[in-house]
Amino acid sequence: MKRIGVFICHCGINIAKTVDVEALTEEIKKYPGVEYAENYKYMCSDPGQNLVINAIKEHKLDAVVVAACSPTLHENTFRNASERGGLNRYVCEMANIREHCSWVHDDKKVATKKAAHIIKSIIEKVKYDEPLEPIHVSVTKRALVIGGGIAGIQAALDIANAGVETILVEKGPSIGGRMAQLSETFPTLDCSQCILTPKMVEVSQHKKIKLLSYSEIEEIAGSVGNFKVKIKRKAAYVDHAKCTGCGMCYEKCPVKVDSEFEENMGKRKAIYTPFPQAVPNKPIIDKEHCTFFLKPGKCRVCQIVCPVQAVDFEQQDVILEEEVGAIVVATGFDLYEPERLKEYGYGTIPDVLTSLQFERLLSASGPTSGDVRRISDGKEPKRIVFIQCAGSRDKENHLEYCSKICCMYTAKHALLYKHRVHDGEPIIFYIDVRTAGKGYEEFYNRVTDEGATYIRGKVSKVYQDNGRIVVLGADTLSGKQIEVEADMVVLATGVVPTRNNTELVRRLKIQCDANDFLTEAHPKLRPVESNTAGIYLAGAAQGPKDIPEVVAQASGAASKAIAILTQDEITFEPTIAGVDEDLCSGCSICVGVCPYNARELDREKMVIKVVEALCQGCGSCSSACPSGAAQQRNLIDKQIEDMVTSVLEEK
Amino acid sequence: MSLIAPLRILAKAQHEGERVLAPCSICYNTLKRANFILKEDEETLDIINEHLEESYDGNETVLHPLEFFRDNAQLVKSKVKKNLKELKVGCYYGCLLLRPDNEIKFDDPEKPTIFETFVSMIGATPIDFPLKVECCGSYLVVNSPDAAVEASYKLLRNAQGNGADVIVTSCPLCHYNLDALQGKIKKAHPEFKEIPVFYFSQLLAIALGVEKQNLGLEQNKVSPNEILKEYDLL
Repeated sequence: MKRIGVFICHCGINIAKTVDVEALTEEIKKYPGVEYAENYKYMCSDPGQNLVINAIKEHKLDAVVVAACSPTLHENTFRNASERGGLNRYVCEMANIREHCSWVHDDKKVATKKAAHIIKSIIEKVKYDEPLEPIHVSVTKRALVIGGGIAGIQAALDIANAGVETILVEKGPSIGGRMAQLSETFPTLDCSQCILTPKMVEVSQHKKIKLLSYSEIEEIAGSVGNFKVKIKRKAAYVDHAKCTGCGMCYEKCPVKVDSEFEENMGKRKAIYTPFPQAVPNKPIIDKEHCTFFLKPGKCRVCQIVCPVQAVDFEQQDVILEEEVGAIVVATGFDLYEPERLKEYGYGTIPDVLTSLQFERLLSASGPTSGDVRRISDGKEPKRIVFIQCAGSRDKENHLEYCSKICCMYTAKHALLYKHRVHDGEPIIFYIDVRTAGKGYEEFYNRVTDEGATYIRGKVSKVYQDNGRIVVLGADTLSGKQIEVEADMVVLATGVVPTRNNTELVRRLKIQCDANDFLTEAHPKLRPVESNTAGIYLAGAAQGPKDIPEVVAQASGAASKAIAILTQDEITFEPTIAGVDEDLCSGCSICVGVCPYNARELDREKMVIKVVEALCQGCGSCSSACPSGAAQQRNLIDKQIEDMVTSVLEEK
Repeated sequence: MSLIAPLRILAKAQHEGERVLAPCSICYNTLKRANFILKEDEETLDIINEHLEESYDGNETVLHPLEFFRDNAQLVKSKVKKNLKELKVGCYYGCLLLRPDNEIKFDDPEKPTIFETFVSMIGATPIDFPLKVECCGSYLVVNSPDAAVEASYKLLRNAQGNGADVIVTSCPLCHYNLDALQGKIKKAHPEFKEIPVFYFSQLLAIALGVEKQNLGLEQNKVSPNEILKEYDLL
């Protein structure tokens, strides 16, 4: 039988006012197993803690129960004190008689009785508590950042600047992401490329960053501190070590393909860099369109003109194996498919554009060098209708959520259009204008002052009639139907997470919400962590957000990663679930219920093994296990049964 | 309450066959939606059945003739006797044939084609026009006739602008608005040129060679006789 000491705190009058602590102490003294009990005004104070320490030594206590406040407040305090008294910290438990009792009752008799029940149940628990040792895991001091948009760039730079080696993996041929496609950024109208490209160059020149462009994650194993990652470097068919980036190859390549970077409004070659400021500024060959691959052996123009013989049609995909301690996922966003908004005619009416296409039209490096021109005939549009919430905030048909950035970028579009075409007439249909952000409302006011017309209502139809684009809509403020002719229509297409992301998410063993955005561990208090320890989230992959928010979140994710990666080892609470191998049948029910992927089947022994670094001690496996093999350390079934029994005893 | 009337009809129809053909868009819409709701909701079906003389088993399929023709195209084509090729027919759907899409599931609600398929099937030339799925003004003709006049005017002008000689519709109310309001349209918009409006069954009957006295063309406010004569269809 353990020798248990119980220490009851008055918490000033917080507990003592509603609980008769003297009577309580006397009652607890009589409870089986209790060797020693006393009360004190402030148990958490130094003299209070000394009471505990001295009593452990003096009365040779094996376990301690502190009846006071919530364990979230002072469990650590009293476990430290117990250690100083010579006990293992995990045989010290808190009985919460403040939040759970004195604060919520006013009848002293009832409250005292309840406090006794609470303490007795914890005494029952502590009887079976085992001394435990914290789990230590050594840390591989390297980071992996997935996605080379502004989120990934920022995270990689922050981690690398903290002195930690970082691998940045980007699936496309260049980093830069969506931000590289933008013209100017709201609300300050900084040129997007001008503020982004220095960061891109910094990434490529950083001694601590290993940039793997045109690469994808093949496999991820391991857990926090020690992930093992397989990365596929896709064959570029150009030896980037030899390539000087002179550009002869893409100048001479005879194959023209719609440019993804220009949102299909411009052309690139079959051998290409996506844009002139690409990092790395070395071309790749698009196998789908290259003549050499379509008609084996033909063409070879790029190979012939390359002055350094860098073109290598024999190149193969290479699998790299890397070990990292933490991962930042920054896989970015796509636009909601505008073709799904059939009433707006995208794809059938050439001058109906997406917001990103309009960005390219506005961009000085875009297909029209920044002149706003119609795709169909190259004419300057004199009236542009902008349709906000194209796909967003439409629960019945499209996306239920607000894509957050569209109000602001549409306002920016209207302003930049006015700047390019002075007699141009921007008309914006909106549901609400949402401008929550520093300087955002002021920017919106500026846009309306400079002549943008805002009409509150949805557009019901965009159609082409005898060469004109006609926009039908409603003005819900005046209650009138609106019919306007436009030279161009721009759809503020909603934000969706990057498509074809599911496989990567599955490999990472992290979670997505109903809209496929990555799920954070806590929506308020852990916004940059995933549910899997050591994997952090940044950017629009986690939800629609604008550039300043993305950058802030990326720095947040980076600092979380740095916190782990600058330690030699990380320590975990040992109060997690274990496996009794004698009882375990390997049925794997617990594998399915574990939200943290901490349990896996050992196929040799045919029993479950626990990845201790991942287990959060939630208890799902314990309750699902049919044989009782999955037991929480220091919260085994026997303890729970005894605790419940003691609470239900009427004494 | 709104489900009882359609259900009574479906209950009677279940003795006759598994399929109910509803040639009027509004009837089709009401029957099909009632059927849809009850197939999803057994509890409501039971409650309503308590109020019916005979209960409905929920197994009828509601069809519009356009669906029937689409699925029996060869049969229709084999019966066509007249050559309608020169007739340019603006296919007007209106609202109730197509919406609400998730309950009606008739055709693409924004870019439907089933009417054009039918018009091609009987040998005429279908004309697509952007406003073919917009509202004709519907019941507004009763208490706000000007609104219905304007709505119908826009549709007709849009169809004419895209080359239609005649309009075809499948809804009696649309037919009334588009046809009978043309006098008022002309008053409000003197430049407006009248255009004949057919119920789809009339056009089918013409193609099948049904005799003139059985076509009911005298019911049409804007007479189609001139254009039919022009293309030798009478």
